[in-house]
Amino acid sequence: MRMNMVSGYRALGLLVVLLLTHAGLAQTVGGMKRGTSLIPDYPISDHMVADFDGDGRDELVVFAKDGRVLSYHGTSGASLDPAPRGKLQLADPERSLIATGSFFEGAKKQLLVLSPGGLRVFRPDDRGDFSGKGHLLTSRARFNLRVGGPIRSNIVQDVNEDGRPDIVVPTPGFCELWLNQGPDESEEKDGLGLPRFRRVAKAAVRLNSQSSRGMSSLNKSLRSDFSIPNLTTKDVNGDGRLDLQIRQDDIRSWHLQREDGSIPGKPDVSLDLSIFRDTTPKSAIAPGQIASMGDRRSFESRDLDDDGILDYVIAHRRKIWIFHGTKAGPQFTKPSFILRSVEDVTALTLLHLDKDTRPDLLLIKVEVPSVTTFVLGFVSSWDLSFSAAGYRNTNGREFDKAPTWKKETALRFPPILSILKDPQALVQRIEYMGKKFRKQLGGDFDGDGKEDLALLSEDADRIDVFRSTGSADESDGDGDESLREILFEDKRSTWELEDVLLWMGGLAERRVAALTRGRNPDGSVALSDREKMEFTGFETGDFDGDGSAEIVLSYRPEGAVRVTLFDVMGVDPSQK
Amino acid sequence: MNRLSILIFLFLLTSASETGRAQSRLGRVTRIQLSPDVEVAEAVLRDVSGDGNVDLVISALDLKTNGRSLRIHHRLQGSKSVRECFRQAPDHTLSLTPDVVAFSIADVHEDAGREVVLFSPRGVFVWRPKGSEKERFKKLFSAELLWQVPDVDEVFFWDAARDVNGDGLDDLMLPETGGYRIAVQGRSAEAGAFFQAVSTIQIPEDRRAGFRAGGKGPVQTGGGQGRFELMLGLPGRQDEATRNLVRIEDVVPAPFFLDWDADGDLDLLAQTTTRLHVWPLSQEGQYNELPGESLLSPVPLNQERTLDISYSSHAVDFNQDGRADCVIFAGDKSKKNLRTQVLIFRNSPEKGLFGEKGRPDQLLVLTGIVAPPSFPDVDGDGAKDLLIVTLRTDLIEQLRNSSSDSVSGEISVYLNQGKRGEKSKRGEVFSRRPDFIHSIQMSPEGDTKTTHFLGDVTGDGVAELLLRTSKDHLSVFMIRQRKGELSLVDRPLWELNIDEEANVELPDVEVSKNREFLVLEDHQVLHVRFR
Repeated sequence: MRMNMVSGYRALGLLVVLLLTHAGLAQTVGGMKRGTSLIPDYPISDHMVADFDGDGRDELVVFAKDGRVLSYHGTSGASLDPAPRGKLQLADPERSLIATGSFFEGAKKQLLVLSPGGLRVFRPDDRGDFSGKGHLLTSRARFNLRVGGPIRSNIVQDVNEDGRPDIVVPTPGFCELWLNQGPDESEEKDGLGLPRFRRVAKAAVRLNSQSSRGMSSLNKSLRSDFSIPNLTTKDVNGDGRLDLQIRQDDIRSWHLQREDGSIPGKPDVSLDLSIFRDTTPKSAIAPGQIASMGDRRSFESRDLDDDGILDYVIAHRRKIWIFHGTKAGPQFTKPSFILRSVEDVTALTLLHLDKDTRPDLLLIKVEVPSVTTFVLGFVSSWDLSFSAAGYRNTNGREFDKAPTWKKETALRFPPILSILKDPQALVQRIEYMGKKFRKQLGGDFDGDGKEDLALLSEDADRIDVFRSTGSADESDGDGDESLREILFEDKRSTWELEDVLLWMGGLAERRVAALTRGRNPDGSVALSDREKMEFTGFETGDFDGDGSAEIVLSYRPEGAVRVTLFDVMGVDPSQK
Repeated sequence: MNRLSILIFLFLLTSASETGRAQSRLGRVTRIQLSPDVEVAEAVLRDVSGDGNVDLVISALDLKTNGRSLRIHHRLQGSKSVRECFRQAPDHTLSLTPDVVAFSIADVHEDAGREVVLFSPRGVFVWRPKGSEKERFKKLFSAELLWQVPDVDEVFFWDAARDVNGDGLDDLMLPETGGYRIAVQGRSAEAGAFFQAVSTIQIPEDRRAGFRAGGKGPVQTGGGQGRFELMLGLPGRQDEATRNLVRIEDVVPAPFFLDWDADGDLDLLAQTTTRLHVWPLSQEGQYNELPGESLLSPVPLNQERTLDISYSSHAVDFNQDGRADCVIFAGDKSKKNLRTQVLIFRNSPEKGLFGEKGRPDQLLVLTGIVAPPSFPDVDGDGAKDLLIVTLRTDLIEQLRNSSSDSVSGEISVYLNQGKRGEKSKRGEVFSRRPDFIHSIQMSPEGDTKTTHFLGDVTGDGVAELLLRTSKDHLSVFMIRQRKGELSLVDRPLWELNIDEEANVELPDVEVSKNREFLVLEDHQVLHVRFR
């Protein structure tokens, strides 16, 4: 009896220790506390977090709308010195793109500015601050569009993966690729070998543009809204080097990277999709008929035969051509296979429908509702019917001639009048489901060398922290699996709109479970209650150089475009 | 057949012929055909030559060369008596450089007539077709046009010309980031035409309308007035930062020029999410950068209102007192049936526009959803009446048991009550009940936008009604006024078959005294003119 009591006490003691230890652990990670709140008194255009002076401590660099570049430095923990430093004044802030890169061998990161004056690099001083005029790398690479204030852009990319950062210059209608040729030793400035840049390609790009010019009423607005797409690079010939893919309307072209890292100015392969023509008469989009592609050509690429080389599927009306790529690059003279659909096709894609590694072919046919359906849809539920047909990739060279997977599905919408009467209810429901895709941030918050995870709550009022979850790469996730599930595996043949939203919600929850390994958070911290402020994002930075990351949260006033406020939080230093 | 029968037959035959000729005399159609390689982007009617007759200006795209051009067709002299109003071949053609974003027609040079004004992202230029080669192009002034990037497929018409200070000279207005630029023209014998008085207008910040672009994951939302966008993606997609290098969005409210304070010049009005801003023109002919007045809107554009497809607001001088009035259309979902409220505000020195409490001077309630209204003068008294096209959602319920392929709509006209209404007990601006109602069957293929009072074609003082009764058919109906009541004569006065995909461009009343409009097809422009 006595021994049992001792054992019991020991057990209890051990339990208490364990509990206290666990609480301590939770305190260490979940012991995030708010540090500095920065409310700059000048309009902000953009910001970034980076270690420019190589001292192992990140700085928060803020780009003011008027062109000033100001750095905020950490003091300890999650505290930043509220007095900004730096005297850099950009010459043309309204037309400046900002990026970072390491342009000098052995040097730290620098700030790159692309503007109408050219490409200029700025090195921080020994304190990590920016000033002066920097160094002009080339005056021929210019950016002339008005962006309203200096903004970050992904213009620095190592396109040919030679370890030297290259520059992609966006212009209306084109993206220019400027390859970094390395420093010219004979032309050192300030003891630096400035890198030389050579424009190797000018790729035509199609702007994504939405503009409005309506003046019919006071509530209308005049709008200019466009984006310039990035260059697309991919290894198309299996040599391990990224190649340049360019798309303009029906023209596709490829510039293959050479062994020495150079990329030719003229394309190695060029294709005009309009040469692919199915003689089946063109169908108009008519009520009660399949919504066809019309005269559009569809172009998809994927490695169909697992040889590490991209292959291509081209469709026009009901005819589909398969071309296999070669080590010399894409070829479109000899199709491996031709498939013909008995009906018009609305959309086509390649994805994994079975368990092997070769992608299969999916055809989607959407039926345009009849006029009667549409009219009755004002007062009754109405269906948008579509069918999905999956063709198995048999041997990497061909697809089955008949579909292995086939399903007819209808998407059921509520009466149009009910939506018009209260559209807000539907929108709120959609937004509610959207919030389930919680924003995530990875970082080593407790300095133990392992990646942790911070998840924003659905209501954006707190951050949940999960310890040692591993990499939270946002690109993880299998779109093929999701599409297969919804098109063929789910037993339902009619999906109400609510079913779709619930499915999306389920997808979101599974994603969170995968990220967190199904665990409860190790700790949570409430965000500052910022009245009339919107949370816009968060990122990590190690401001005190202790190996554990702090989190910078940014806010903007409701309805404003730019961020104006920062909160910094981190693990309490006494807890580390 | 006896003699009487023959006479009746001949009479009927003659009447039919007369009617046919009357129809063709009533509306003259001139077809300007472009080659199959050239596509029509836009077309406008403006008096370019300065002879008092409107000319035709076509913005076109050469499909082979991707070249954009402007083609000017002068009105044929004596065209009142000839069948066609324009020659097939243009009188002037201007090939446009890639940087041209938009064009306008304005008198900005001492040359006779008007010139073509060209807008590029950085400046405003004039093209003088009659000028020597050296002097054909001239820069008027620098500007930062809102639309930075030209559309490769078209150069659009921007109606920039306004005589803001009433001196008979065309001034130019263009939108920029965050506001507008208004250049007031001056002229002198020595300097010719010049633009030195340039006002830069700044729109005050206000809450953003529409939806914040939400989400970083597969569910993303966005949208604006009357539009909600939902993008559903799948895991594994590229995010915005890697997909696009730059995204640029510039938005300013649509500007309106009306006399606000009855001083005879044009003041500037613009509406943001919560306010109506007014920039009065000073005696020196300039606008201040910031508004002189900012009135709290009684129906602000919150998120709920951006989804309201009936919502619109308009500034119009209804009682012709030189003070801009306002009418707001807003959906009312408080009742079982969908309704739309029409809130009419009269601008007066005593109470201002919205008054202290934002209570309208007149309230109309309509059943159903309303298409954007217009304000034609239907009864010829010079005052703007109210034209509304409504989708009768209460009648749609009857469709449950029918297999109809169309829904019931209604065209309603509320006549302006003028001074009589102002002095009445209720101080009405418009009739309390519609003075004209016409039921229409609206199919998804119909076009409610082409519901337009064309003006008086028959000479009885009352405007006629132009309707696009189906995708490929236009009709003009006579509106008759008897004992104060308006009615539609069922048989169309005039009809025209058009291409299903054609756009009908309706004119500004001020542009032409004639009743004319344009039908734009892919490779053809139809000009229709009534007496």
